[in-house]
Amino acid sequence: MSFAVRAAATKGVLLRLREQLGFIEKGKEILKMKREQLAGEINRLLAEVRVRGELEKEIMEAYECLKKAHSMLGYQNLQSMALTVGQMDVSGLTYSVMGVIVPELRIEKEADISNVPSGVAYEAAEKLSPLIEKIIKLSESEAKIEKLVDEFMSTNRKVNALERIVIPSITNTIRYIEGRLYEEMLEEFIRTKHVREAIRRRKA
Amino acid sequence: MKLFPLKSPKLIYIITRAHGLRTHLLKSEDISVLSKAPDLSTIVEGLLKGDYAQDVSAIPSEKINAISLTEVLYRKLVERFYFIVKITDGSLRKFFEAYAKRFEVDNIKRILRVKHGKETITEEMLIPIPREYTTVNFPAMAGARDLDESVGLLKETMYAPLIDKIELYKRYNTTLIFEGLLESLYFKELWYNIEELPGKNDIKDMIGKEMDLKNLILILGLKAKNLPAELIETSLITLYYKLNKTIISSIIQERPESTFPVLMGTYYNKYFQGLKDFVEKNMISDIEHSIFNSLFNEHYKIMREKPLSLVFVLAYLSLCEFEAKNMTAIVTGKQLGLSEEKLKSILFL
Repeated sequence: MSFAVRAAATKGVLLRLREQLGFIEKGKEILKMKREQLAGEINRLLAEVRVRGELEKEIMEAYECLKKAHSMLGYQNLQSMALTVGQMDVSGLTYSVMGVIVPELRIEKEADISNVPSGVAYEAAEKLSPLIEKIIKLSESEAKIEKLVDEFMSTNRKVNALERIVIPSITNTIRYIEGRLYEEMLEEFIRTKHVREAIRRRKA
Repeated sequence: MKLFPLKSPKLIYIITRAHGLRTHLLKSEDISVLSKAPDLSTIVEGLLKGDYAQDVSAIPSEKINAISLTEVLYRKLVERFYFIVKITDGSLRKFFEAYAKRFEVDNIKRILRVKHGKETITEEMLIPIPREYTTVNFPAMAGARDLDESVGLLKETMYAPLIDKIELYKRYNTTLIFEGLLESLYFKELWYNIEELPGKNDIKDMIGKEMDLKNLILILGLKAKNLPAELIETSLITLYYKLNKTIISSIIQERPESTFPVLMGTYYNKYFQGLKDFVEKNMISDIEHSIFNSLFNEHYKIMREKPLSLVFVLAYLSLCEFEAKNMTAIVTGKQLGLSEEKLKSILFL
């Protein structure tokens, strides 16, 4: 409503407001499309994150194996065996989804567990190694979801603000200016009529 | 009437001492009770009554955990081994010194693994061996810049052949090459020292079985990792007791599903009975545990059946080692919350 109060009721302002309204409507449509795209992407990622429960179960099983290895070999011995595992290389990249920068983790080199000397330590490594890859993928998806949800919320707020505040406010202002202009036009018409009547009377 | 040859007083002395020392070992029932303990503090209370009392009570209560207790267990184990070394002389001493070198071998393996991983090693990660009984400079090896330098420090020791394997290590990038050679060197030295011992056949049988079975477990483990045959052969113990090169090669070459019949055709078939599934499914830790459990029971049997032979002393040392392994499993398992059932399955009983 503050728009309506502050705006000068001129044709120029009306034209500018109508232009603005058209632009904002287009923007709103684009934001709505972005919101839908983000929702779609989040839904797709949520399916990836749903494996978390299963993964946690697998991790617990692998931990049981690791506990067994620890118990059979002792901390010190297992610690030295763990160092024979070839290091895993993971690189971090970023890319943009609808303008949102999201992380991507790429496993460049898998951990080489073939050098682990003991049977029980190897079994634990065999169970844990693929899980680490899954954990990396899951954390990547979760980080993506976090970023996309932030953007989704922000886009949603923008769409809501446009739909509920900005557009109604501009529409009201336009309506107000149109009303004022109509009234001014009527005043002008009546004034013209009065003037014409006065001239006619003077001539008579 | 069968007459037995008279034993030397030195031999009688050491066997008698071993009989006395045997009573200090925890019995299977003690191990079972400790494995059922609700927590680590109950185990500590149990240990305070026996041979470990002095060492365990020296640990400050806030530092009692699986790591500090394992250190105590291994310190005691080393102490038990070197006590036998101390009370012997001549060929017996040489043999027991050679037998105790398994700790030295284990420490070298640990250092080389850490150097391979380009990490630093702390003293706590090593088995504490008295300086007078080792020719290896462990602090220098641990402080070496890299694996090459570490191996180079073994030049003046019986482990010098490791230096020649550096090229092979670099080609395959695995410490398994060194580990196999270390075991080979250890058993060769030990085998050489058996020759002059009284009752050497029994001792050869005990050591030889351990050596061959370790080799078989190693082959199965390496095959499970799909390592090339050449690398498997290089990582093995090159000394055989009841096995030979042909059997070893055929086990290495055989497809996984055909390995079991080959194993059953060897002298060691009784150790693999009932392990068909484990062999076919590559469950190496279960195979390893089952075989070593059989050895553990066999060594118990030796103690019962040959109480007046030198092999009794060796069986006693082997049982000391099994006790350390059992207790390590119990303290670590309890700290990590391993279930009672799982803990029992990894104990040697």
